[in-house]
Order: sequence, then C-alpha cells, then structure tokens
Amino acid sequence: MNHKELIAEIAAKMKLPRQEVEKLLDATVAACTEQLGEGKTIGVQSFGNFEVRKKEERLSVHPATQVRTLIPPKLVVNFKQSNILKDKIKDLPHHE
Amino acid sequence: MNREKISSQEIIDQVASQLKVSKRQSEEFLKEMFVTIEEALLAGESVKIKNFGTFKLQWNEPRKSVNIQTGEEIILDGYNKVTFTPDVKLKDIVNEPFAHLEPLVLDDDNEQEQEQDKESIIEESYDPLHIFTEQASEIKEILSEINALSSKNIENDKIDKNSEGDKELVNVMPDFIADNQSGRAKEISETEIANVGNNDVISDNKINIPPVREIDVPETSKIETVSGIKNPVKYITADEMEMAHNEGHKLNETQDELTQPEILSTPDPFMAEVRPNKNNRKGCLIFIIVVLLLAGVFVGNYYFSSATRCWIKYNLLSESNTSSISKASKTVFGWFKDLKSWFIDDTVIDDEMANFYTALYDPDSAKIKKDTVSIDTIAVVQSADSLQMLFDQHRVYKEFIAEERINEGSRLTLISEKYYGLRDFWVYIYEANRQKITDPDRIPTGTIIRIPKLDDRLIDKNNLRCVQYAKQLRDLYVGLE
Repeated sequence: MNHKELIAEIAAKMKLPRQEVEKLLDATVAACTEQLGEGKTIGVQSFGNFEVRKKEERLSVHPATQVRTLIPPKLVVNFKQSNILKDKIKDLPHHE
Repeated sequence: MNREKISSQEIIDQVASQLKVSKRQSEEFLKEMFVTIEEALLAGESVKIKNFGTFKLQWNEPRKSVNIQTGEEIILDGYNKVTFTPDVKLKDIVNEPFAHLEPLVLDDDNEQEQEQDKESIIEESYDPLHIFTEQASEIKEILSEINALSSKNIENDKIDKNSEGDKELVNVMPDFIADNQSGRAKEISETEIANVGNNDVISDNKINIPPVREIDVPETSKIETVSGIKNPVKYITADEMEMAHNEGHKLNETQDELTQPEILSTPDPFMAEVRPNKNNRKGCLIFIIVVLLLAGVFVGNYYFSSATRCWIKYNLLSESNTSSISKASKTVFGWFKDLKSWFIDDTVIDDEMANFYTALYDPDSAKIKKDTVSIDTIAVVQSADSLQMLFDQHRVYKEFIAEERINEGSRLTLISEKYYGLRDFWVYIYEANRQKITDPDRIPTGTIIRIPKLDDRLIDKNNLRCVQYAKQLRDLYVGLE
C-alpha cells in the first residue's frame, strides 16, 4: 500500500474528500518529522513509539581492500511496536 | 539529546492548529490513519508514507536459547514484528546535528605522517632541544673529518694491494705483447707524458678542491680521490726519469694519438718494450700498471664524447691555459678514483664494451670495462658540484610566485609543501620574508608573506642533498632564535 492508496482508504473510512485527507496526512507527517527532528520521542497509543537514537562513531574495515574508514556518529529514527500491536500480529500466518 | 516523550495528543494539537481544523477531526484522522496502517500490515502489506517512511511486517524465526537459571534449552517462538524504515527526508532532518561529518578513510601512511608532523611541531617549539641537536650535528661533522683523514691511510694500503694484483695480471700478458711489439714505444711514451702532465694538474687540483663541509658523503669521496691519485703520481714520477729520452715528441703527437683509437686501445706492447730495458723488475711492473691505467683512460675517451672534449681541450691548451687543465684533470681524477674503487667492488659489466674488449684481449677487458663505467660517476660528481655552488651562492629573492596570508593554524612547513612539494623547503620562504618574520614558529596572524620563485634544482625533493641542505638551514635558523 502506497501513499495514494492509504489516502484513498482513509478518505473512504472518514467520508472526507481525498484532498482534505492528503492535507491532514501531510500536516501530520510534518508535525512528526518536526518533533523527531528535535529529538523527541513520539508515542502513539496501541501502535508504537518513534524515537531518535544515536549511533556512535565506529571504525569499519573494508573486507576486500582492508581500507579502514571512520564512520561518524549519526542519529536515526527507530520504531518500536507496542505490545498491543505485537499481540495483534502474533497470530498472523507467516509466509515461508 | 532531548529525551522528552510526547504523546499523539500533541501531534493532534499541532495538526489542528496548523490546518485550522477542529481537534476532533484531527484526532479522528490520526486514529484512522494508524488503524488503516495496522489493517494493511495485518493483511500482509507494507505501507509507505511519503516523506516519512515505510512500515513493514517482518517475520523473526524461532530460535534456541538457554534458560540462564536452570541451564535448560528453550525454544523462543517466531514472531512478527513491525519495522519502520525512515524516508531519506526524515533521515536527513533527524541527522541534521551530525550532517557535517563525513566518513574518514584512515590510511596507515597518513597516520604516520600526522604523527611525524606532531613530532616536528613539538621539536620546533622546544628550543633547548634544537640547540642540542645542533651541537650533535657539529660533533658528527668533526667525526666525519677524522674518519676521512684515517681513510686516507687505508686507501694507500689498498692501492699497494691493487698493484700486486696487477703483477699477476701482467704475467699473463707477454703472449699478446710479442705480437704487436714493433714501433709502439713512441706512442706509449707519449701517453706517459700526458700522464706526467696530469701530475701537475693533480697537484693543482688538490688545492682547488672546494671546501665541502656541509655534507659528509661528498667530502669523504673527495678525499678518497685525492688519496687515490697520490699513489699513481708516485709511480709516474719514478718512471718519468726513465722515460726522459722519449719526451721530445710530446703534445702534438698525443693529439694525433687521440684520433687513432686502435692505437689507444693497445698500449700493452709497450710493456714488452720496457721490460728488456729495465733490469729492475719491480719498477717495470709499476710502470705497466700506469700504462694499463692510461689505456683505460683513453678507451674511456674514445667512447664518451664529453670526456674526449675535455681531453682535447687539455691537449690544445696544456701549455698555457691552466684552468682547462684542471678541468681535464678532474676527469682523470675521477677515473683514478673509480679504478681504485672498482678493484674493490664488484664489476658492473657494460655489455657492449664487454663484447668489444673480449675480442681484443681477455685479461684486460674486465679492467677496461671498469674504467669506462667510471665515467658515469664523474658526471654525477660534477653535477653535485654545481649543486654545491648553488648552495653556496647567496640567494637573492626577486621573483615571487604567490602571496600567502598567515591565518590561525598556518605553518610555513604547510605552505612550503603546497608550493614546493616538500615541507623541508620552508627555510627558503623564511629567508625571503625575514623582514616580516622574526620567529618562524610564531608568525602573527594576518601577516602577508611572499613565496619566492626558486631554482628547480634547489628544491628538487628527489635529491637528497637538497633536502639535507634545507635541513641544515633549518637547524641554522631555528638555532638562531
């Protein structure tokens, strides 16, 4: 499901025009991004937490060329699912 | 990093105020949005939100583990997990505080260089250490001079040994000599005379040797040449007396001789000529050695035009012009030196020469080859001398290639590396800016220095002498401060 399909789905459920839903979605994404950009953790009830984690700098060695590279520290967004969501998807049949 | 946690409520408020919609609508939307995502995930789909990221369902395989308390093996069940991969835009925004950092490739050489740099900086900033190193270098100089003097004596011994080796060689010779005996005596005497001429020249040269003090290696080599020549001179003067009756022919004929290479290359018959005349066998052998040396010299002349030019100059002007004599003798100088050194070292065989001379006569071929090879080294000695002159010359800086402003962290060494390719050459920049720079370690920021245009030979980073000279200058200047 991509962006457009998601909008269509939500629009159908809420009985709102797509443009409206799109606006809302964009605003939400922008708000979330802004909060995450400030390093805040966003907790969504029954879904999960979005948090920013710091990856420390590290030394990577290219296995073939043996070139050592110092990777600088960075901040990444991490999502941790809530237990409610975990329980919901627990019984899902996995393909394999 | 901000550890604050916000709930979905704050997002709802923010969206509501931004879009000027009611909080209820906003809240409803957010709920609906996550429910939809959840449903899609439950349906096994991945959900992609533009500029935010992708939610995916990931199956984690069951795995074995051990109960820490009981040591029992337990199996952890496989489970599904929602993963979120942030979009590039979100990643960039979140990582903004560290965005300026770039992966740094660590090179081993680079690291060492940096360490060296640090060391040199420490060295430069610590004055007493410099005074100490300066003193150490002075002591080194004195030691090398002493060594050079003692090596002189050793050289004399070596020459004696060499002459003994030649005696053996000479014993093999007579077979050849018998063939070409007739009518060559004259030519040989001429070469002898030429050599006598050399003696004078050599004595001149001894005086002319420029004082080479800065660099140890050239100095010792020069002294070697002097000592190497001294001995031949001794022999020649002894023979000179005996050959006095032949001296009438002299210079004009030596010149003729030069034009006839085949005569030059076979001076051995003279040996046979001399032998009957001499009762003193030892004297004869010494003379033969001299002849062989000369043979090498002339063969060298024949094959290397530059050396021949030198010789012609010598022959033409030997009567009046002493300066050209000294030049010619310089080459002879080198030959003697190299002949001596080649006796000691292994031979480097020039193939062309080898073929030619083995055809002529075997026992001498190796030695003559040595002589010819030696000429290359003469050229090296001469070029080194011109470099020495360049060093000794007073440097005047008139042309400049650039101007550089001293900033925080600027260093003369770094500027030098930028323009000349090597840090050690900063001394020349310092020399050119002495009015502005009082202390090369502490240049006030904002100073504008000029980068002088230098002779390429002076800043040849592949030439060890240039680098050494620059280092000496550094010691000199840093010692002054």
